[in-house]
Amino acid sequence: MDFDDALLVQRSKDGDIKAFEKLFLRYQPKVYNFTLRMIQNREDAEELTQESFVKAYISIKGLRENDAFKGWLMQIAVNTVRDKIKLSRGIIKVGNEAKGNPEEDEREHQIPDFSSNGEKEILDKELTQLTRNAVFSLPDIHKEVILLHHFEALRIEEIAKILKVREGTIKSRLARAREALVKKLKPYIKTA
Amino acid sequence: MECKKIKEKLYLYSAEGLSRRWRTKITKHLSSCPECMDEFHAIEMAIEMVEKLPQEKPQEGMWNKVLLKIKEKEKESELKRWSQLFKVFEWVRLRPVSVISAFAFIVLIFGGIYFFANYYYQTPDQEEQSYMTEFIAFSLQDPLADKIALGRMMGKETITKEIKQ
Repeated sequence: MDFDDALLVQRSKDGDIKAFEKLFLRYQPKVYNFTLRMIQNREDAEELTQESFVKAYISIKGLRENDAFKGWLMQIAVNTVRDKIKLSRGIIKVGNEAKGNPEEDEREHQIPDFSSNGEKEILDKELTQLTRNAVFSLPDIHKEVILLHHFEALRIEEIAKILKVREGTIKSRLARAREALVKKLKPYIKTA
Repeated sequence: MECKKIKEKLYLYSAEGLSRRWRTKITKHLSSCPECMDEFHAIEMAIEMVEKLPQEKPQEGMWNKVLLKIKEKEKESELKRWSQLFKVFEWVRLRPVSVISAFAFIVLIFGGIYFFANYYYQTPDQEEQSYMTEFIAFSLQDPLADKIALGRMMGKETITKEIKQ
């Protein structure tokens, strides 16, 4: 897998756009889902995913180790999302700001009435939405770590490299993020 | 008291952020305390719920948009390169005296270096070579040139004088 990546990266460096297309098809779902969960907006997520890949292609010659493509690409995606959040802070609701909305808070903490519908599918859907909201309500730095570790299955040391912080910092962010998630999801855990 | 301390550290324990001593202590405590074990189980369940979130499929045809943007970017960077070159020409056009002076200065500096390297300072080999060239040219005009040259080579001015006499 990694060897294949390295080969495709080398060919992309030599200007082979077809090789880059293969890399795009391989990593597009990862970048898209990470971006979507960070900003909770499909249109923006698509736009930012495209932007991340364009940046990757333009600067691929600067990638020293060909087999480190995944981490490098995720680093580009993280920075692209951060830039977008910085730009749009105050214009659209992102991350912590959503917390400030009392209406949203109320909706978030309402326990869905599972007994009334009694259908597993609806219950699952509700739980998915609640979990999604819980993740989205985390501060950006905690959300990044949770998404990279639990969705992208990246190791602590890989995340530390991507976010350019120490491994200890990642572990403590992960612990705090988990604590916040448990606080939010605890009422539904037994039901799940 | 023990449970309170353990619960405080459970999240770091789950993130493998504790020292070996604490890890052993907590593992031991969890095996004997159902209350703390429940708390730890809640963390695991929350993680599971997060990991189970479904992946969304991105819209089809995104590659074509990426390709279009890549081509646009490449065009942009080419235009940028040309515009930088144009800026240099424009700069030269607006300051002809300065540019000519700078050019003349550079020519003088490099010309000087070239002259010094080739004519002023010669290695012994180069000196001998240029002397031989000079000697051949000279000997064609003067039959006594070989003797004069010999004298110069040996550094004996007296020989020259003797020959002249």
